[in-house]
Amino acid sequence: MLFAVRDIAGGYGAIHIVKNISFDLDAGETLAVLGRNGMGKTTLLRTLVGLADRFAGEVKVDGEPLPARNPRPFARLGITYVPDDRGVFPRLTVAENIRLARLSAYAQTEVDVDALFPELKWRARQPAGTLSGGQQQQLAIARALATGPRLLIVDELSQGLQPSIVEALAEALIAVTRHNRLALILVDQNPKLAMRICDRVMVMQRGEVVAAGPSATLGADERFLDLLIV
Amino acid sequence: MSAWLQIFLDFVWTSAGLALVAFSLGLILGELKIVNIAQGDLMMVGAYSMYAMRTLPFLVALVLTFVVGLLLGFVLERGALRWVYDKGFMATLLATWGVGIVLEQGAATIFTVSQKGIDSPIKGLIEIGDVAYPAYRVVVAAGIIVMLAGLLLLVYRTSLGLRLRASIDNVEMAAVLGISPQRTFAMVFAVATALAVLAGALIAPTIAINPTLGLSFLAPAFFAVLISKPGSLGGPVLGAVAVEFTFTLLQAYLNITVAESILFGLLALLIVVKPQGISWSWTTAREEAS
Repeated sequence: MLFAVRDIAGGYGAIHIVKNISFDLDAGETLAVLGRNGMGKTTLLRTLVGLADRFAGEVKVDGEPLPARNPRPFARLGITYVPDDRGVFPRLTVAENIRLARLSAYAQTEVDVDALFPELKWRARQPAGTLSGGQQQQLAIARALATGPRLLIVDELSQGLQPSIVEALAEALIAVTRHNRLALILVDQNPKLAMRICDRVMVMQRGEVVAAGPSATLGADERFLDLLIV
Repeated sequence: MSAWLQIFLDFVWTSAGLALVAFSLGLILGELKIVNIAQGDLMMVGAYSMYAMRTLPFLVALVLTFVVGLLLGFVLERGALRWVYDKGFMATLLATWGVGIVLEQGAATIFTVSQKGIDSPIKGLIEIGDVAYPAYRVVVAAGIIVMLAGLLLLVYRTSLGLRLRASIDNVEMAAVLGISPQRTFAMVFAVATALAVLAGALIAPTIAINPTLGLSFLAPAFFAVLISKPGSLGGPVLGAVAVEFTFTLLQAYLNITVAESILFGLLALLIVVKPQGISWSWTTAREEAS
């Protein structure tokens, strides 16, 4: 199993935000994490990659447990993360952002990021902080893919972006997960989009998983859709 | 004409020393987000280290002093600063202030407060135009300019520099890409400390060595950093040149006290008017203007 999560609880300092969460993810599998605002989705992702405190449970990669609150071992094992603020290095150029990812790559990427995001090639010498929101999101995804990951974790793919850019990013993610057997965990406010990209879905409420299953089954369930209404 | 050439040579000499200190200060502020109040005291350590090793050949003493600076920086970062990174700006300010006091008092205890001096390893004067200028200052200024150029190339043209600039920009995402913040912090503080110590060692033959010698460098170095864009590493170097250029011009017409008052007044005004700092990069400035 590529990525196994067992009964984890996480948060910040004394504040426990997520609890009792378990799931498995193998190569090429895709999982959407859905829920209303403030239900702990971002904290879950940050706990998974060692950026928030883990109070209980285990995160295993290839069967090996990884330490809490330390993102570096995840990078070494081919797990990368795109945060909801995109996390680009604003003073580095677009090309430097990508080069940095290649320097710390888990494996040589099979994804041609230049072909996937041609606009970034034209803007290679532009500081990343001067890009628009959509361009920064493209760069964040391109940088993550340039690390040659086995598991990509994306927080809020579509947030603040115009529909045409969201569509392009979604198509790019669908292509790389299917053709490169890349595993994906995706948090997004748009359930239809997330379920189109991901095969499985998990719904969070007050820090816990309240529903989980295949996207095709849950997407047709009225009670499931009620859980997502703000 | 010779008076202006003399002024220009003094400007190059003082700019070079200040640029090295400002680069070191900017490195610490950019990477660790710490205002290092002890920067001047680290220069003082360099000067006293050269005094303590005055019987050794100058270059040997200089290399050993640089090593002392690296070790001191490593010990200070691991022993003191790493415990206060997450305690906020005031805690780190007080920690470096405390370090400065310990260094000053330590020097006063070991060497007493009476002024010390060391001989210049290069005697004599060099004829530049119709000015005879101390050869040591010319050699050291040229050496510092070459060293700063090398450091800036390292920062902006190598993989190590790319990793460093990435962790200055976003330490959390750098860690997500596998760059160790702890290792980077320790390395940066050790190197920055060694550079400040080296600056003190290089100017030691030209000044009276005493426990408070670094204080006079602290304010101009801070202004050199503050008028640059936050996180920029080339900016403090150019900031130092700008500060020294203004000071040299003012000093040419006014007495030193008035010149210093006007200089610091102007710099404070500049920070009020442009708190985001001056972009010394033409492309960035053009983007900001558009």
